[in-house]
Amino acid sequence: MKPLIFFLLLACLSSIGRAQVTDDLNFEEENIPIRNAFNSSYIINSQSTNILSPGRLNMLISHRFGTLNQGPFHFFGLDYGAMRLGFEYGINQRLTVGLGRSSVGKNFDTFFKYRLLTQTRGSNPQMPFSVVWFSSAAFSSVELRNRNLLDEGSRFSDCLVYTHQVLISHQFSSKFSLQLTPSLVHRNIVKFSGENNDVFSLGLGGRWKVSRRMHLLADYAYVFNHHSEQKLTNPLAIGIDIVAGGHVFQLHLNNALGMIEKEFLTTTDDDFLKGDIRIGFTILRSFMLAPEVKGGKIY
Amino acid sequence: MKKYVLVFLITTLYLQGYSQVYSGKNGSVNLLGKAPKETITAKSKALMGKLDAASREFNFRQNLSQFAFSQGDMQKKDAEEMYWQTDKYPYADFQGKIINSIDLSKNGTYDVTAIGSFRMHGVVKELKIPAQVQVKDGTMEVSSTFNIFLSDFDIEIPRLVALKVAEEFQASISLTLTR
Repeated sequence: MKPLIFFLLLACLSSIGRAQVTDDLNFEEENIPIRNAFNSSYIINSQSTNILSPGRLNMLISHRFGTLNQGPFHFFGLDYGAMRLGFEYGINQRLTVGLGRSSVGKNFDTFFKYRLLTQTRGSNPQMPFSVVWFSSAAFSSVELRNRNLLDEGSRFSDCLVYTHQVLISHQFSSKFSLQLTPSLVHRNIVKFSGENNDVFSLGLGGRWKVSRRMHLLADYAYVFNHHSEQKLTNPLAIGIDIVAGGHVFQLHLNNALGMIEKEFLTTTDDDFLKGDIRIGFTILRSFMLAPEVKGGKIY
Repeated sequence: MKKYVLVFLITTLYLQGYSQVYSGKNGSVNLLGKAPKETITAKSKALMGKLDAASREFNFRQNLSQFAFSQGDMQKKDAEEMYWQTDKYPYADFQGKIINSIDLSKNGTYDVTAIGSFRMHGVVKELKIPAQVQVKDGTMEVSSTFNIFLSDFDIEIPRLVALKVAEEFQASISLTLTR
């Protein structure tokens, strides 16, 4: 009896398969890559898993003002402003390189981001995460000068600070994405005795897309081994991205002053919950230098 | 038990022997839209297609997330999120039949007319498209150029960009199919 049922079932299935000729012509579902879990290549302070498309150049002008609780005499912190001018360029589908100059510590920084894995959606077995490797080297000319005043023999390489991160993001829906950012900041020489050369931290960032033109963002990092004698805090920022064609305007509230990993992870000493909140903004202007597809033209 | 399985296998194999389905992937699709203030081009190498040489029925599908655009990722994002809405409608496909009574098993170049349903953005539209099929020793090269009106597929162009996004796009496709 059983084999008969089995055969009937098979016959049924096969007859369903033959009901239309076009069934032979059907396709399997494809996996669809999610290349941009975030709106831009930065969340607020941290890098995001977005990689620029080949030939794209971004110019970023970032500002962080003084803390709001400085009061009206300092115009709620707006009298003082730190800035960073940054550039980033997409080499290919996986690699983005960048450089920048910050007024905080007169830092020069260069970095690269390399895409290791891309999240996909689809009915087939899929990759649940996007993974991007980030490495940067930063150099503070203020530190070199100070060191040279103390000790003539200071070298350039003493003042180098390296950051390595693995950015892991997951897009839950087209509106909501989260990113985990384990990172290591390595300082060749530290300021105080007893300070760690290596600082480990874990960042958590998120994006909620309110509309096509507006995104809500949050960015936090927990630092595991702060120097115990300095009163250091963890960087926390919340903000919005406003997208307008080739521009992105980001407005945010932040307790970190620095705009590169070395600064905001290891030197932030303001407490967000005590009101040491800075207004900050970033203007991103995007240029297409070497279009992948020819023939397009803007008149 | 064995006997039944054998019968089943033989029937299916026999039936499969009858179909002459040619299939191919990584076909190219080029889009061109000329508006007064901008010409948009896009290209992809992700066209898939199947064609039954016996019944002359076909099915072509393009994954809309696989296009690269002249203005790069921002234009791509706009196209995918605003116009195509790829998270809801990931593919554009064209299913139908070549209406000319030709023998596609013989070598030669054929100018054909395909009639079928073109689906994009969740809207199905009956289209008649001219195409060229070149048959050579078991491979078929299919190419076609046709125009698509965005309004046919309920894709609205916001007034703000009406001078930049053309209402009519020209699509040129080319795909090699093998047995």
